[in-house]
Amino acid sequence: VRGNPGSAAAGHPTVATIEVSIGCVSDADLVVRAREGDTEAFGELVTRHQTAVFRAALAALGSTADAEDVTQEAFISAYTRLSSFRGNASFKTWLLTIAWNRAINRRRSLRWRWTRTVNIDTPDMELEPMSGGLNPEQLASSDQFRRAVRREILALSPKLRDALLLAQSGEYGYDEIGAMLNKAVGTIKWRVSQARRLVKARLRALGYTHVG
Amino acid sequence: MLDDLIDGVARQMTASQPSVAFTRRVVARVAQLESKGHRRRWGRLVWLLAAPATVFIVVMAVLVFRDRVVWQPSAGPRSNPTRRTAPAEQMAPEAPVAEATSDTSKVHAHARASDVNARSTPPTMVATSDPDLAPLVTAPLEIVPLGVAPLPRAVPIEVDALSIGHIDIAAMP
Repeated sequence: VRGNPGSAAAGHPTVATIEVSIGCVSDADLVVRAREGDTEAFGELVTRHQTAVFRAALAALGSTADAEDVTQEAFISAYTRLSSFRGNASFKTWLLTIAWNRAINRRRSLRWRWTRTVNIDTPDMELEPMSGGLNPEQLASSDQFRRAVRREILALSPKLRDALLLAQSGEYGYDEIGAMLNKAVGTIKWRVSQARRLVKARLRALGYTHVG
Repeated sequence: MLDDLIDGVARQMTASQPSVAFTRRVVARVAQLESKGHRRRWGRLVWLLAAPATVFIVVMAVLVFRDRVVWQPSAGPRSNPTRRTAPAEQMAPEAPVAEATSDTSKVHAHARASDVNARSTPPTMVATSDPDLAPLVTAPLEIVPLGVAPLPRAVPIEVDALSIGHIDIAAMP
């Protein structure tokens, strides 16, 4: 973002145009500029937070195409509602809340449920039989076992799965997850722990008794 | 160990990035929204200004053309162009000169009666140029002569001369 060449600079040719690196500007300042119609400032906000928003949407939807759609909608929605952003929470938290609500709405939609049902029935998602003759380390690193874990994570209830995927994405703190899901931090931590416990129990039930 | 494995798998499930052109797409849509918003704002402004502008034009047109318009009287008994007001001398005969009387109460009574008659009498008399119609002439008003009694002669007022008596004041001790 260049310094605004206003009337003073225009009247004094010796005044150099001030170059300001947008990377040093805080989210709050970028929000102020974006409110005034500076699309470049909003573009910087998109660049900063697109991964976090995208991963939240991916955790909720499980599909990169849907997640990207929701991410884009969330940013557009945030831009149109910038005037309602009061700054009580950080811009990232506010944006994540918008994105999460949009992702949940899409997950609840009938169309998405139908697509999801078809995806679950694909052969790729079928649980493969347990391999024998592997020690715990070999088994843990095998693709077969990882697919089993993935399958069990997907089989979790949405509440537990969301908490686990969001916590492990590496993009959010527990407080941000709590703000997104509108739950207390303690509740989020319990859900993550419970999700792990359930996955382990199911794996053992499937015969992976010597792992962990 | 298994916890780490579960966490690792969970991390992989969300380890993805939006496409490279994502930011550009979002910014393009935002710019599109901005231009639409500008157009919408201008459109709204035009619609808001249309009503007062119309009223202003109408008012100005009325003000400009008001004096130039010649009102054509419409057909009807009141606005018949052939009718004209009768000359003043035909409207009513001159009232006779009031004669003085000595009876004051009678004068006041007559004055009230003539006032009522004057109010109830149609104010105008209209003649027409139509030869078939006889000119409308109202009967002359009967006005009783107004008499005013002469004032009685004034009696001069006589005031006695003032006389001031002598006042004795005792000396202060």
